[in-house]
Amino acid sequence: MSPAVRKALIYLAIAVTAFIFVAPLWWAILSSFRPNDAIFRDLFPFTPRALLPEPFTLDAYVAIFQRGFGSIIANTLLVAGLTTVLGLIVNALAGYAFALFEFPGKSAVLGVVVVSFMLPFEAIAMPLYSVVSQLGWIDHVAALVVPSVANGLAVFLFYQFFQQVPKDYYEAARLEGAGWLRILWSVYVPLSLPTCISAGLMLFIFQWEAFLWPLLAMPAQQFKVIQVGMAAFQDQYTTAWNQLFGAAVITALIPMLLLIPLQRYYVQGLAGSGIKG
Amino acid sequence: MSGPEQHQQKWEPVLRPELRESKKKEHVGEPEFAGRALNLKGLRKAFGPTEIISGVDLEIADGELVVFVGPSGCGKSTLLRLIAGLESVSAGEILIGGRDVTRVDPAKRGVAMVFQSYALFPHMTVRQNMGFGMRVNRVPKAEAAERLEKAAALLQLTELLDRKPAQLSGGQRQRVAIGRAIVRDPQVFLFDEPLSNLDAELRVQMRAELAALHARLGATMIYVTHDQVEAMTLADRIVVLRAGKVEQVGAPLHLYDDPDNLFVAGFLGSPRMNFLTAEVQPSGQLRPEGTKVDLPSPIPGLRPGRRVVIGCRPENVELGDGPLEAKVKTVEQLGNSTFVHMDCANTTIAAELHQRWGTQGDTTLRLTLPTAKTQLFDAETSLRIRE
Repeated sequence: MSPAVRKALIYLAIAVTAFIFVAPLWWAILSSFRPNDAIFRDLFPFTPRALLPEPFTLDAYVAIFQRGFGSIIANTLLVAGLTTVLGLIVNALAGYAFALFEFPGKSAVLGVVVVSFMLPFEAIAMPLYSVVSQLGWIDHVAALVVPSVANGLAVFLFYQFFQQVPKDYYEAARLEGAGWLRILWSVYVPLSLPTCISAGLMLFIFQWEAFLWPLLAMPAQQFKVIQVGMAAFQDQYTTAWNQLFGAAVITALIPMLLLIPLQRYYVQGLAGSGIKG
Repeated sequence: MSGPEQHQQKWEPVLRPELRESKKKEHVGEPEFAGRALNLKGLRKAFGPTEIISGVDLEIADGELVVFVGPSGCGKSTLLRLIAGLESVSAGEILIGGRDVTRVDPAKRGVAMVFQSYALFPHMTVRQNMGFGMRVNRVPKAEAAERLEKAAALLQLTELLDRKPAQLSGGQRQRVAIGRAIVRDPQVFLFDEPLSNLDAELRVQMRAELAALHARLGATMIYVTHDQVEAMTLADRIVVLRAGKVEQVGAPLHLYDDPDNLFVAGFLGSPRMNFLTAEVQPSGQLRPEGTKVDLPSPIPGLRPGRRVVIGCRPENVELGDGPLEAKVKTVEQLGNSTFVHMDCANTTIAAELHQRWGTQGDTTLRLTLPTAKTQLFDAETSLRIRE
């Protein structure tokens, strides 16, 4: 086989693989721009027109916002935003304590933290429901925010980063008269921006993708978040496919818009410290 | 160090006395006590069962520059950290300006420390780094700016105030770290191997700058190093430490000329002092091991059979005629001097010559250790034998 043919075959294989992965996504995006009755028209039997945006309409987007999807997005942004802000404060403080202070049982507690992020959420959903219910938080925003604030993985990220910061910084600041909270705020936090961004995005996306817990904790469905809201486009008898795809596109787009500009820091934060002398 | 001239040269603390009195107690780092002398009394530090500092007693006078020197792991940095308050004391007392600070918070001891790594906050500019302590302690802005400008001018940092540490050379970073200490106007400056991250040339330059700074500030300074050249050139007094204990304290040349024991004798000087183990003969003369030569003893009346160590600095070894036979191993030509390393009496002897010397290896020659320039140590206790 000549090198040219070989190369062509490799490219063909790559193109087919890419098509297999990208086609469903592309089709989903296109479907959000079609009338509901035209969605499956060119799919069975398949014609290439299935991959072209025609007929083109924004009806689905208009309809989902008329059905109150805007407030669902706002609700989710509120929950995810609150979780991110509170989560950064709580998890950074915990990571800082683990990294800098010696206290009895430190390694045992750290072990529990590490194990906690390996547990699937489903395993703690029912005990958590019982706790939240006893606190009277069912159908309250606190039920969505508070249990998600403390996150083992975020604590571990901060712990790992703060441990790598030379201890001399802490000691130099101590000698200058700064208390531990001031040292965290003035020295450690500015150095840990990539970690803050990674942990923040993680907490945000965790809430953005949450489905089971909001469903359990908000049974009255007065305050819906995005994943639960999306499920409402599909009911027992009819499915508004174009609206469902439209909602899915918006749902995917918002975290992507956050992630793309912060991607560099996100990778840096997960990869390591980047502190230089 | 003290005296009226010295006081006139001193760098004036920027904080005026009347302001100092009006400041709240929480405003740390400003000397509330006039004296800047430091006293260590029976200081001990143990990590678990391991004792790192075993009973250090030391008095450091106001304005003195004292260098702690010793091999790695001798506890010199730990001792400095105890004084700074970064480590807790197991037993003993630390007094600064007559005040017992043993259990006082590091920030309230009136000490400022320059770290080996400089510990400059990388996200802050030079100005922010130097002013960090004053911001923390809420020093009024105008006063803080004045102190900062003055310290920056003293250290030639004015042009660099808006740069970040990453944009500075090693020497400049070093000066910023010193500047951060100076603006606090501490009673005692602590330096933890501050020059060890610099290249050889810069080290010499910074050494001279530090000496000049000490002369100008007249401040009490404690300087930790493992580099004996730094110790010899900077110190008013050197404290030689080994395994957490003070071996000897004294002026650099005093320690060099008159060491109390084999460790101090061997630690100061490069190449180190030559040591020949010998036995006192019935005639009172000394016979080095592995030879049949008797050398005159610098100290008469030693008990025959006693094992001693003869110490002689390389610059005092005389080549040419002499009772001892030596075989040349290596010759190091430094341009202005020559080091000749020889095998002699089961050991290696180094000689320093202030001339060029072109002998090849394997040459056998004779040498003398001039009696007046040798010192005797007890081979068992390692202590100096004095008349």
